[in-house]
Amino acid sequence: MAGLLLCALTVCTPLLGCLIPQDDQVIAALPPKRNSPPRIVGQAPPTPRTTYYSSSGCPNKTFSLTVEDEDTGDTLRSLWFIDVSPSALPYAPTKTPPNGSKQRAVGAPTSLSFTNALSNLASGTHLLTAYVADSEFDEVSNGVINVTRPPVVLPTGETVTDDGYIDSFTWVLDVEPCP
Amino acid sequence: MKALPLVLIGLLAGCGSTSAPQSAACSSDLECDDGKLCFAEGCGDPNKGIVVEVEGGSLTGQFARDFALPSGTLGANQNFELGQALSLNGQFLRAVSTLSPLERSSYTEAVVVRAVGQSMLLPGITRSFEGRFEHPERGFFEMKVGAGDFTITATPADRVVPPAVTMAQVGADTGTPSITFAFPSVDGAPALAGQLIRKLDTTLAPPEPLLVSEPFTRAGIEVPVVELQLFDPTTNLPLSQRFPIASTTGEFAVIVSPEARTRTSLLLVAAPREPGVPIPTRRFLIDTPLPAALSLEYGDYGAAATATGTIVDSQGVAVAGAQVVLEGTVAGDGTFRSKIVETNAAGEFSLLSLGSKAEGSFTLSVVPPRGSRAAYSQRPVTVKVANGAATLSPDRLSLEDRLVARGQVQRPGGDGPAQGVTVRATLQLETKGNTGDVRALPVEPAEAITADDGTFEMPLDPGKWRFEYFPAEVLPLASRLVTIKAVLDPQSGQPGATIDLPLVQLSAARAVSGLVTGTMGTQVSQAVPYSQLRFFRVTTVEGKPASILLGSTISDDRGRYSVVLPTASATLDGGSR
Repeated sequence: MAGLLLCALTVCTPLLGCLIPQDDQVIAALPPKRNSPPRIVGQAPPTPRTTYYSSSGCPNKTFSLTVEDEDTGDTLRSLWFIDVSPSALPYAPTKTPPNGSKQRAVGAPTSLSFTNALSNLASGTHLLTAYVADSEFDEVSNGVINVTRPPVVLPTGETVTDDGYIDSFTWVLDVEPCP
Repeated sequence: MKALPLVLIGLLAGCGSTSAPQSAACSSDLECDDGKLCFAEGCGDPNKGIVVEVEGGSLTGQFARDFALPSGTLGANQNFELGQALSLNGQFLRAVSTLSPLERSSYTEAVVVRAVGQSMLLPGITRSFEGRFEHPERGFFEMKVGAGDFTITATPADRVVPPAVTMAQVGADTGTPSITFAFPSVDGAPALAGQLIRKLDTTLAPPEPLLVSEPFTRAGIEVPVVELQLFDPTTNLPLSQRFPIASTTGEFAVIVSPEARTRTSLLLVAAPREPGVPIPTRRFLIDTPLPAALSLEYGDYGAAATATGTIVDSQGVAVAGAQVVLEGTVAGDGTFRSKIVETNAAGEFSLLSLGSKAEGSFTLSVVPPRGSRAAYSQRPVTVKVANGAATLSPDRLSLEDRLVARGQVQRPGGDGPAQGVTVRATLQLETKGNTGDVRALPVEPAEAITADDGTFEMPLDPGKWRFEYFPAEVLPLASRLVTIKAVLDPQSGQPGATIDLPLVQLSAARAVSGLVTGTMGTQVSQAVPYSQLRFFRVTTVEGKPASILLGSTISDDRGRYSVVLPTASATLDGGSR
């Protein structure tokens, strides 16, 4: 008798549990993967405040960012400003094409207009700001930077706007004459 | 297997080209013996001379370290242990008096330490580090640095204390060098005093000095316009800090290192503090022993005014966005360099300039923007300043055309064109004529992306260029050194406008992965996140040691990395020889 009771408790009870009616609603297909944001995880020079020597005759620092983006197929774009302000215009955007890695180095522009603007800086404190995005920069107006947000088609046929993300970093430059 | 690409190379070479590049000994791996690949310097063994630079990310304080891998030891898995972060340790001391120079006390005021040098294993890789120590306790300091052979300068914030300079090697083998910077005592640092004027105006009775500049204030504070600094003329190392000259009297007092007494001559440099200020730089060679007082003259370099000009290309079309700088010798033998300015949409520029000493004693340097068909130019020009106006002659410069370099990139083994490859060309030797001088302005790298058929083209100045090919797919990068110069067409006798580059075939890939670890505080063998790794091939290019980049990558948040490198045998992605 005791064995029958034990059987009922250990074997039959779970079996009874299987008889509970299940919801027959079909699980919808997974929605398309949404965009992942790029994230600045490091920078060179490493310290946010750094000395920069004016004049092109002085060996100087090169600026770059280490950016992590889960979407390895995204092209990273960066915009660089010297002394950013609502009226400041950025230097030519840089593009970092996919290389199969989540972590990528995003360098400062190599254009002469950028490097010469740095070497022309007067002594004192200046700001060097970099914006990194995983889609096209759409608009730079009055200090507001927008990026293109590509449309994504959901399984229902509905179209939504995917997010495009921006991350930024600013160095404070103590500009001094070339020693 | 080798036949088809060689035919293609031949076709490209004879495809209407009127100019020809001089390139390294190979253009494709197919031209190399078994086990060798085509690199920038020619065919070589991909397993030899590999040195890896590992930098441990900004959060860890682990700066660049170099690992020389013995020949043939780089396998599919390669870990890097950074150990303790490298650093410079030491103490700032100051002599108590000249009577007892060995008696020193700790120096606890603010000091800036700057280490400038280069890697001991990677030729041509320069490194610099800097730290500011506000109140070093008992004068002790520690500064995290990378590996290298450095010249280290300690400059106190108090400018009356002369800088101290030393040399040190930092690396895994050398350990952490301990450095003592001994600054001279207050009475031990001699002063070099005097007056620096523009000239003595002899039309007045008695003659009066003409000063170098008017007093200049910013936010109510007088800003020094011209500064003086003393150097060792042999080593070019500083023997003093920068000292202003008084704008109202032209007087100065430069506190110099006691080491100056041991030199036979000294170099005193007077230079404007800010770039582009219309005051020349003047160098004075001074014999020792130091005189009690110096009376120096700049010479009458005249007034400054705005000079204007126009830059056009060979077709007379305005070149917009070109960088322009004017430099040369002014009256009085000082040298002047203007600010760098940019041409507008009409190709016009204006810059503040002094007058040139003589006809053609100034040089106007123009760098058109990347992608422009106009070429870099340096021309002798003359600037005359009269009645507050500057005249530049010639004021309209017509630039010659760049040469259009055309090339094609193929996938490994000649398996079709490689599309989407980013091609970056960087000028290697920046020479001015036959003088070997560095160009007044750098030339920015040129970039192009290969089309569906693997072809690309880019306008380039004549010179020696390093071409780097960054594939869009998981394949190793390739690099080539190419000398580009115009060659006369034997039929027309005119220089050719285009250059066909040798076909470049990407190498097959092999994957290398591993873990980067280091010591963080007391924790040993901790993963170092976001480390930057660069794999180089150390070799000899045209008789000089050189570091050729083979691949680069960044580790993930757990310190794991993966990179693809060229290989002569194993394949990763569709390539085999």
